[in-house]
Amino acid sequence: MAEEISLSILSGKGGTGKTTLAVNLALALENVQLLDADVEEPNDYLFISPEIESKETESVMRLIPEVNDDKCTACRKCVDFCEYNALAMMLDNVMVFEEVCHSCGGCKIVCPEDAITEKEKELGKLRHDSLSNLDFWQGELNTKEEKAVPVIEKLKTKIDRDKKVVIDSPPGTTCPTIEAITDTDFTIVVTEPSPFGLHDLKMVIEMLNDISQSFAVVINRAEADSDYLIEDYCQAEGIKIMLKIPFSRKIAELYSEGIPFVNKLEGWDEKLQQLYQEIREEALK
Amino acid sequence: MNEITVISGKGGTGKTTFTANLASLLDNLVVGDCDVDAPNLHLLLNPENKSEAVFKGMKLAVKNDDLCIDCGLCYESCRFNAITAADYQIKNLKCEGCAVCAYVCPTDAIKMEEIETGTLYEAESRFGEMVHAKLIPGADTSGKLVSEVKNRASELAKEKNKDWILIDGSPGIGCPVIASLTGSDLAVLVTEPTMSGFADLKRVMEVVNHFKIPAGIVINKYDLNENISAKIEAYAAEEKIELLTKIPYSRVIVDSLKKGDLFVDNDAQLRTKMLTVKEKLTKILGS
Amino acid sequence: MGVLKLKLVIPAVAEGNMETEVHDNFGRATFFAFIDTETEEIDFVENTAAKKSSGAGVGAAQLCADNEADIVTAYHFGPKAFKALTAAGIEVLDLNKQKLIKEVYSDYKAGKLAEAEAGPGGHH
Repeated sequence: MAEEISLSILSGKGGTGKTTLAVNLALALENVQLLDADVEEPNDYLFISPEIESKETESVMRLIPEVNDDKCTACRKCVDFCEYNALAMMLDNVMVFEEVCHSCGGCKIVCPEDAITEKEKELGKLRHDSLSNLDFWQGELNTKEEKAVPVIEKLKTKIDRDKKVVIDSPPGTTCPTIEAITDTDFTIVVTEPSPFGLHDLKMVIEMLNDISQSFAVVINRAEADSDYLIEDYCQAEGIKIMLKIPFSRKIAELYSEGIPFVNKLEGWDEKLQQLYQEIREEALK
Repeated sequence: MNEITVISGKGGTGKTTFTANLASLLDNLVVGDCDVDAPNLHLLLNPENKSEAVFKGMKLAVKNDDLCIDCGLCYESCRFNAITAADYQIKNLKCEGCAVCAYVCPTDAIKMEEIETGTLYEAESRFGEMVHAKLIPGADTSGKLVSEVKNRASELAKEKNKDWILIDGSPGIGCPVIASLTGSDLAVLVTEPTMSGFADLKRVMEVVNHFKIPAGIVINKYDLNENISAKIEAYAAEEKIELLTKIPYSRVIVDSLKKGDLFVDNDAQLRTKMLTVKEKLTKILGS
Repeated sequence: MGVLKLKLVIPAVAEGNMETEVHDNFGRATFFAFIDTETEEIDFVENTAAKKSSGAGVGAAQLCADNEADIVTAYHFGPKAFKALTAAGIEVLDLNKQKLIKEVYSDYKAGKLAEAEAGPGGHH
């Protein structure tokens, strides 16, 4: 059996077309998994599985400190140790602020009275829907929680290397993005032909080079008169542009309704299948 | 002096483009770009940086190999997979600065050091002073740098007796957005008529409502989906958010952006629309 | 009947005096002004809590409690800061749109400051 690869899809900013590409690419392929790792605001489900909330769900847990008031002597070592202001001492009682706790376990370690234990708290969820050709997993961070990385780590454990794997990453260059793309065979950066697009593309490429990740570019909202903004830069840097999705009002309208364009517009099935093959060739080099 | 913060909930709705064009119509102004993760406002305002300050946003563990006795206690205690198993080196991208490894190390081989996570810039643009910042890749966005941008913008506005402070807010709904809104007199929400856009709009309104400040809404590319656009208008009316304007999906705007131009300079109708927005904002703030 | 001796805290933009401006962010205020309501003396404490990357409101609340604040005022309290301050038995008041410390103090004396409510949650 031919070796399948995993690819992550990234953009510098939200709204560039990352989800558009991830969703349509996954729908065009067979024997594929789509993982939505944009856990703060997952949107892929709108196009793939609108009823996802009623599907199979798994919790992602993290550890939160719990203080035994009987053992606590109000020495404040835990409050003073915490780098995140997640603990406070008010009227000799230790208060725990779960949202900013990083679950590092430090307070438990420094407490001289063994007064701190840890309890599990739900950080986020993984949701799963199995469609005929597409295995869809969504990671979501619970509201009021901030630590996206552990949810993405758990989501990645669902990767099935026997399938083609597409990961929709969070936009930007922060830790959750890096977590989502690490260990994928290849990354596609989606950009648009404008000064904004070019600026954000450069920012993302700097990060990708820092972590030595293989990548290529896809231009969304491509237009003859402005693609040069991206093309000139990519040519100068030896970066491949693998696909252009044209600026199309029709595509934008379909997106607004939550309809993947690959189902409605001719020829895109083939183009996207070809894209996967090209990525796979590059990745396996 | 009036402070306006422009936010969007979802990214890519046109917040920054709107902010830049509005800035060109306000007199005696200071601008702040609070989108510190992926700042774009400077691409349209072309400011000249006058000064920069290093921003130190977090601590990282740093190991002195000479003192290390390879006991591996640091590796065992790290919850973030930030220490390599083989030779107990610290992986900077994974380190969250919790200081547990420094605490457990029996030879004090690990120290916590504050690191530079971004830069804060003070600049001059053709519309007034501008404060902006940039986080380095891998650094987590926090309200801290956003607050620094806001603080500096406020200080400048007071020093120079400005009439307007215009803030390009952080996208999303979390702490950076709250930091962008604190102390503002009015929130402008730029939204788009898509299912995801509308969903994020509602979420960010919860945040705005707490501040008990008036809000105005701009529906960008409204004619892309008039059905959803109408739903947004109805929602705005219900929530007592003033509809500032509806901007059509416009070739002129796209072309202007590509050239790095302001669309108000390229189209009289759009300019009039934005001047109406300015009037409405002035009116809301006056009452 | 004498005035109660209370410590009233107002976030400040700098270490100054009654003419100094109020800082619009509680957690990340540069300084806190402590006013003794009996003697009307004013002292400034640096907000060291603002150095941390998160939980600034909690840290600031801790600072106020450690310095024996009785009443804390601000334009906006995040839910964590609010919870921490009330747990310490500290009275939490909303600032009106007054911009100078002396204006806030005068509003306080006239009983014009209302009880604050907790704000919406951010992540930090």
